[in-house]
Amino acid sequence: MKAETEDLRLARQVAAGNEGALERFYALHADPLFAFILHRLDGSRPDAEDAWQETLMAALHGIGSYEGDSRLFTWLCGIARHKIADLRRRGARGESLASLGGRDLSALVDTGPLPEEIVMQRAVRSRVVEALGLLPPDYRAALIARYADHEAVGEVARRIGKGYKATESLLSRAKAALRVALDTLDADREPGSGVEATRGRVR
Amino acid sequence: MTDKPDVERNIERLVEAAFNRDARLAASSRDATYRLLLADLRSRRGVEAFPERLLVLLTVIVVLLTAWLVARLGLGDFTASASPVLPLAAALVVINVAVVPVAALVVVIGRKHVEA
Repeated sequence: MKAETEDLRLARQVAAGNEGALERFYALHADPLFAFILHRLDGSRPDAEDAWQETLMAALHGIGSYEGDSRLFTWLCGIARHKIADLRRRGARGESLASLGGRDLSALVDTGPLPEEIVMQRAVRSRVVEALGLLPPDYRAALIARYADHEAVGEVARRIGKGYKATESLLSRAKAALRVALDTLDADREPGSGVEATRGRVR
Repeated sequence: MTDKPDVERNIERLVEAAFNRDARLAASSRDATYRLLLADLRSRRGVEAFPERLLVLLTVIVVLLTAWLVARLGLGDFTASASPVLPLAAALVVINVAVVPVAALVVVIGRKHVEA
């Protein structure tokens, strides 16, 4: 709830024309939003950059209507989905993710080593980006630095201004939080689509 | 033995796949889009910061002055001796008209500067 309040405060500051707030908003959400859109568009960078820019512009114009009912990043992903749909209607390339969605991703995470086929699905990756967007900024930054950028724990500790042990502990909590966030997203998804459709063939 | 190591390793692999190098923004795109958003924010803030009532009041004053000047012109009584306010009113209307293209130019140049 605290984070949602912070989201709402940030949104209101941006809506009021606060440039510092816009900088924070951009620093927090621009990169994950791009990754989300890129995966949804099957890795097409030109289309992804167009949709990303359109999404941010639309978000800036409509941020006054954000009321904190969902996380700010979830709200942004909603706008992005519309922009991606617009792109598809205009004939741009883009994979339909309906049959690949990660409905049971959180359950799959618990069942044993994930097959590489699932890890590399664009739908799964966009879901993970969306879930990361639900985490507190320090959790997200630490996870990306450690596991995507392959920084040593010591480097991550310096980046986030914590001690080695505290960073190890934070990383552990962040992973647990991401697992819960995936579960939350699974629960919010509509039934009938999901990676469970592919589970049988990869087991 | 619990499945916790698998869960943790799965999470790590998912993060790695979701935010691999291919999914990163080019710095140039990132900076250019930020400048666009900032310019948009500034332009909207300028419009919103100007009080609407004052805008309406200024518009009404200029319209009334113009109407009055036109009426004086129609009466053929367009001299300072006829009304000492006449030169002032004429100057205000002329300045107002002259400022419009200058202001437009300033806005356009300002936007191009921010977008560059």
